[in-house]
Amino acid sequence: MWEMLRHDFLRHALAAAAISGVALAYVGVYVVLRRIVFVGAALAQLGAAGVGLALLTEQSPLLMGSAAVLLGVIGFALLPSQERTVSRESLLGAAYALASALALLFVAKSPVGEAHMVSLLFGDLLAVGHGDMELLAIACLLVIALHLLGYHAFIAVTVDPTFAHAVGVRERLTNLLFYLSLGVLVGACIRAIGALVVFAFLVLPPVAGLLWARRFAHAFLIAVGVALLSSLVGLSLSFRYDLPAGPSVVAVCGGLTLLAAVGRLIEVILCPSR
Amino acid sequence: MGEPLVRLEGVTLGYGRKVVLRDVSLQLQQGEFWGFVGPNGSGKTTLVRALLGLLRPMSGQILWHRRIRIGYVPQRETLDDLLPLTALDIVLMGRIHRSGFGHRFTPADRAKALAAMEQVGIADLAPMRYRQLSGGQKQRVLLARALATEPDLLLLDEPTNGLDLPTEHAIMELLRRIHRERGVTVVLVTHLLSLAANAATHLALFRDGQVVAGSVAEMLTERRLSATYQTPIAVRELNGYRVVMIAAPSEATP
Repeated sequence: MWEMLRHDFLRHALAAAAISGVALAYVGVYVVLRRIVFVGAALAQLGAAGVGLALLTEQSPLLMGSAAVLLGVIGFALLPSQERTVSRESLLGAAYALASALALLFVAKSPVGEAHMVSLLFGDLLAVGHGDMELLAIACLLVIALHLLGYHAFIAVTVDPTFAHAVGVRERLTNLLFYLSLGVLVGACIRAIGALVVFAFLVLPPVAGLLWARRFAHAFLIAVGVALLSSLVGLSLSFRYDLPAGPSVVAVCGGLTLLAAVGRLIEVILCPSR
Repeated sequence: MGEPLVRLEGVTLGYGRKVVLRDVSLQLQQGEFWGFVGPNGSGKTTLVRALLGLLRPMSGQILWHRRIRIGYVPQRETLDDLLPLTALDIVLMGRIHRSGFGHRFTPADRAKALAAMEQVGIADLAPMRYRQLSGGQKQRVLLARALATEPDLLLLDEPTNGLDLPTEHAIMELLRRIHRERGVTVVLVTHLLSLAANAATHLALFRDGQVVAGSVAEMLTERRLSATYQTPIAVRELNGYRVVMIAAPSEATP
């Protein structure tokens, strides 16, 4: 592992995975609790489509990816809250399928061609440069700072929006800030770590955290810990066995979450009252 | 007569173009205990949403006489069992004020939350996970959370739904005691007329988009109830409790 850290590009890769993992795992706790996992998947694919369009038109992938995700957030916010003819899940599923197809079509027709297909899905952790790192770090830190500042407001609106409104929390504004922060985060991370890793960090560490947590703070800490450990172990395995970086991180993250689930199952069997 | 809290003047409520309640006029005063009674889908929750400021009237107006704090008690199923929260965490939410941004709980907030739990008889449940509690205990946690806001108006949405009879009775006794001791105005939303009739000082009957309201003495007559529900209704007293039921054909009010 220490040998890995001697290489500049691997230190960058580890920092990028760790920073985005921490922020995505933290916000992902709300994504899982609000049961909007599909929103996370659709936003990640929209970001990938934005990056694909940027490669086709030779624009900034970060800018186009973020713009596509923010458009998705606005679209999601405009979806009617009461389902009339088509469910929200169906619309999100349609957006996911369309965005995935567009992402691949854009990349296939871009000057860089199919070489970028894999990096679009799994990101290009090993190619994260100084400029990308700074933007990624700023976006993640801003999102985390917003969430720490509004810690009780975000929890109250997630737990019981009507009660939150009754005690004076500006529920609509808090929800808007939540979705914007999710959009900014996914948009910023998509180029560095790819749609699959973004989605995995949004879901797997929070699930591990929620399996074991008694309180919100514990869920955030466990989720962030799982994301950090997955980044470190995943990249080490990738370096040692010459495996692709993104899928290695996701595989470790999935393994840790599975371990958390099995451990919880054993605890429930041995100690049903807990 | 208590100080007026809120007055509804010709309020029409609905969603989109669909009208749910039409031309509702009603005044709630300090210290009253209101029962909002009607079948499912009759507009009770719509009126509660309007009182909470979540729904704007399509016409008419809701006039608050002063700025008040509302303690809202939802149905206990509102809170997801996935949530990693202890009973105390939930009650502490009643101490969040204003936007919730930059808020930190103080020792005084904790003391008030624990006092509210003590008042509803669940102080010993503070460290327990919400998901581990029974239905009655969960409902008490939500009531304690509302009390922790130090409310002027306590708004309860079907608080006894799905509870067994002894637990329902215990919750209603608790509500009566809180109303008596705190002098807080209470609005109890329920589809069970008998439940409201034994606790409330005033009733609002919801039926077909209309609301008929008044004191219990005015509202709880067989003639009034039979006219509102368009079916013969009998009101009886049994062991000191009022029981409202469908009248046998032989005792129907002419």
